[in-house]
Amino acid sequence: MKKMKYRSVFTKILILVLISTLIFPALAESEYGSSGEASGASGVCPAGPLVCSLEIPLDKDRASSTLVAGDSWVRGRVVLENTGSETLEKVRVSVGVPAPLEAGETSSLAFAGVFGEEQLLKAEIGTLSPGENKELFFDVKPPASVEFKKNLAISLRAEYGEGEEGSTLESKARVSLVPPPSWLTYLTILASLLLFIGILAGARRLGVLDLFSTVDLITIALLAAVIAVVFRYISKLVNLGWFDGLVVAIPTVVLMIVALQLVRKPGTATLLFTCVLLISMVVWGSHIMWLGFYLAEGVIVDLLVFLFKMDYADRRLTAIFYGVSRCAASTLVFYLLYAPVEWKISYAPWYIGLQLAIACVGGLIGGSLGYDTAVKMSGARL
Amino acid sequence: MRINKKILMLCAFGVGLLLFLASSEQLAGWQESWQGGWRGDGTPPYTIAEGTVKGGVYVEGGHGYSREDPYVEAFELPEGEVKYARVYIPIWNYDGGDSIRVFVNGEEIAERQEPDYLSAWGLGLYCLEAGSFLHSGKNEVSVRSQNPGGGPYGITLAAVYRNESMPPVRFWINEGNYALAYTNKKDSVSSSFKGTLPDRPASLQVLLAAGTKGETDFLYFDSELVGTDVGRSADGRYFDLYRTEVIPESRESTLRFERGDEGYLHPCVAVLVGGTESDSDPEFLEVHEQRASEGNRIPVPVILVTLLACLALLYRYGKR
Repeated sequence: MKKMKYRSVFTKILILVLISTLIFPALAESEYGSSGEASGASGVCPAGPLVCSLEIPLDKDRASSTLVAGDSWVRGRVVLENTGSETLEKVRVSVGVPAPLEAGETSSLAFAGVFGEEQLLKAEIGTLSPGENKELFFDVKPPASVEFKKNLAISLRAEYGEGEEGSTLESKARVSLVPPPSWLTYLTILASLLLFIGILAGARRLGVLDLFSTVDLITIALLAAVIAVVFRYISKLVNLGWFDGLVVAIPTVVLMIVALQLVRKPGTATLLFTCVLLISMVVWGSHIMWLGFYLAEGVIVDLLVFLFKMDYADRRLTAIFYGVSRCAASTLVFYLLYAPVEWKISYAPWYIGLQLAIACVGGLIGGSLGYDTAVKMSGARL
Repeated sequence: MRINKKILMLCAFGVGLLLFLASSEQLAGWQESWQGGWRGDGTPPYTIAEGTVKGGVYVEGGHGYSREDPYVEAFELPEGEVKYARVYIPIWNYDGGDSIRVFVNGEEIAERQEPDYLSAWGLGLYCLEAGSFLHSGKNEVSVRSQNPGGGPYGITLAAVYRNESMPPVRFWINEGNYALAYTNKKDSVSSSFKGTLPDRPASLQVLLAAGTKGETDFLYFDSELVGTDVGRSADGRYFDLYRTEVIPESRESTLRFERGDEGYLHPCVAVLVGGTESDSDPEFLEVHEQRASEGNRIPVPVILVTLLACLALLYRYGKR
């Protein structure tokens, strides 16, 4: 009977994970995604035998046709292909980069340079045989900042032949310029600090901090040190490619569950992850702006502890649920907020969805292992 | 045997193993086989090639960290015969098993695994001699990388070319990969050029990886400050090819990189090109032996925290 109950709850969790991975790309699309025309193969002009397309950025993990203000040079590519059966003569192409984007000098990569205020990149291709294609690279640099998300159009003009035998193809590739993370950065840091101060004030007022004994604090500090120092080091020893994140996620969740069961005080997870950041700052030089990231995963778990009526991962099910929630929260906060803010990268929705799914699996495994470990260690309170 | 004793023995074994690893001379060899972790401070840039040539030294590169595959960069070499050329490919996140394949003008010139210089958390620099594959005019270098969590920061070419119609120049090509980082508390590194001509202007080009805009670093040539916030992702994400004019103060000049408030900064290549004492100076090219990348090691905090965790468990189970 009990097994049946667990099975049913497991099924529900898996369904939730699946739904989140499916729904998320749609949500992400609305925030950072590209505008309709620009997604996929952007700026395709398919008329006649000459087909040309424009792609930017070239990094497959990043959202197609989306640039983040404040980023450095981003490379784009124009592909010309002769799909007809006759050789095309005098093929030439020009790309117009709109302000506030800056076009880069790309003379060594087929374009002859940047011309005029329209920032036209021009290239003479010459002859294009049937089935032949030609790639031309160009660089653009987003402005340091823009107030709001902007939709820009990179113009693409391809010509071949002359006079009546010639033909001109024109199209526009839509590119989204995502707002600068500068104000978002300050806001994030401010919100994190306010939340941190609020938590401290609230905890002091409610006497939560008094609940933690010296032994509790030592336990939390020790576990946090292991997460911040040892796990971070070990994560670089293992090369699992796509699944590299699991190397840290699983043991981190294991220790989080152990901390919850050993300490058994409200606010344990928040304190644990705050300590992880503080130790990371001292040992590895992590930036204070990551406070929000670490707080988020701790606060989520502590809220769930309250929600489950002070269940400190005492059941396998809650342990797994806490693990999955922690991993999902940290993944979403990272890819939706910190990646654009810190690294000026707008990841592709499919990539975020995949990472979210992997993180949830990590939380599931870590939660289950953590429960077993915590039960065995319950006699090991210092 | 009771479970507590088993745990006690395991902990004691763990502590003993760590102490052994921390002190043993075999440590470097052991850790190399782990293929990861903190790869050490790295190698300060040193002179790999120097000489005098009628012509010049072409240094170009781009275009910043991205996950493009293939990663393509083109170079427009001036008229002349390529006497010596080095292709530099700094990469992020090298782990054991990763590899790159390098193509010059469509021809595969090398497949490499371990970078020539490796430091910090896996920032590597591949260095390839490519003189025989290059020619004046347009050349295309592309890299296909097998590196799931990383990729190239850029491709840079340093090519010495000879052109009889040009005056002679004295040049030095320094290479390495040194981690100036908060993590290892390394704040500066120097690189020297022997045989410079005092008070004669020279051009300096520096390749840096991992520099961040707004985190101020400093570049000194002899006693003069020649650059501030040099590592600022100016030529692409975490990629900088900085150029400036300098004036040597003595027969041996020193280039000093200061980290300032950069979290990480990796000086990789420095090329100095100056005039000669007279136009009749004999031409020569001297290629020095490449230094081996220094081995990795476990950072002290990792050893300390692991020891503390083991001791805590020992203490607890010892009491029971």
